Amino acid sequence: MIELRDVTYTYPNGVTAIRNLTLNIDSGVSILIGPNGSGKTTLLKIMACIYKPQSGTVLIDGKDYWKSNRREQLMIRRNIVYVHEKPILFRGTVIENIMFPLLIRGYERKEAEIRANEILRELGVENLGKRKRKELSAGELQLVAFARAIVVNPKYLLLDEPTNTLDIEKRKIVEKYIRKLSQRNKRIIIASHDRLLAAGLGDRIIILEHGRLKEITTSSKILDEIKAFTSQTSI
Amino acid sequence: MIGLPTVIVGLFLYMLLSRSGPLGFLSLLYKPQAIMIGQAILITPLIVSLAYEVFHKARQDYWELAISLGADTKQAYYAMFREVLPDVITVLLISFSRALGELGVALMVGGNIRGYTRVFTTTIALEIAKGNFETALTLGFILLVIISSITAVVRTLGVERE
Repeated sequence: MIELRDVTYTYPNGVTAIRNLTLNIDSGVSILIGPNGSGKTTLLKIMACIYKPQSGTVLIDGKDYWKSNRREQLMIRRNIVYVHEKPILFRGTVIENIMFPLLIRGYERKEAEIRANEILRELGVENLGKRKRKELSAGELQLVAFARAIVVNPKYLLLDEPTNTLDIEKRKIVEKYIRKLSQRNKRIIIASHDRLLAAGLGDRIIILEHGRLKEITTSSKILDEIKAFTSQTSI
Repeated sequence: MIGLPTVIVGLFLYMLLSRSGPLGFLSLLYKPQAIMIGQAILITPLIVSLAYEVFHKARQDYWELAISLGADTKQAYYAMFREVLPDVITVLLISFSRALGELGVALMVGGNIRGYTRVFTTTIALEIAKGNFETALTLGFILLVIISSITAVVRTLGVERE
């Protein structure tokens, strides 16, 4: 479980993105929604232990990450993978990129390559393996970043706007895979503007506003809101 | 500091290194070491400024990416350095190119002594002063070829980087 207790995060430029936020995230798919600047990305990076909050506590499976020693911190972080909103790939081919998280975990090169190819096959994009980053479209980049994250089968998968550049087909693939991971008892936390995605995937919807927790709701409530909005606009 | 005029650096260094100057006891004036010091003063701000930009962005992008994928600190720095290596080489080549084409410092603190502190640019200046335009033009052309080659390497690295 990821537990945030009274967490506040302020950027070096003085902007406070998260204010006194307390939140527990356990099983299933949790979706963070909220307007621009509400703190979704910052919150994901705090949960991914990339950003250190100025105050409050971040507990991952009961362990305070920022009070742990380096070895413990690494063990904790290796259970969490965060995928950026704007996917960045390293130099080299797609396969080499997907192999990266495996190699740093001590996998043999050959084994890592086999697993990387398997993931691409599962996502239906095995043809991308030998391509370099400049040869990929925005959607393909996002899919490769997703593949690179899931190849290590993380306990916590944190996705920042994972479908915003995907076409319908690729979006379906990603959504299907997220459901599959959720059934395998993985914890998935997604930051998104997309209420349809939230309604379709989320077991729990966390609404943020101005860096504070506004509400925790269910996907059916979000779906009702969408229906109400659609009927209003169609009138 | 990047746009520091070379004559100002030359003058400042000349005053420091001249016999009556505060560093006169080192007897470096009109020696190759004096030119090296001057060139270092001239290009260090350029290197620092360009390298800072490169590393600042790389830390935000590649270091954070490696960490978010489960790398330890050493692995994250290694991944980051691997990414920025072509940029770092580019920065060094740009700076080398600036130093190579510099005249003021080499002339003022090197003294243009034949076979000792005479460099490309000071030779060209001397040949012009002597009225040997043909030699000056030839040397200028060679210098241009060298600097153009460096630029070509920089551009190739830029393409490779992608």
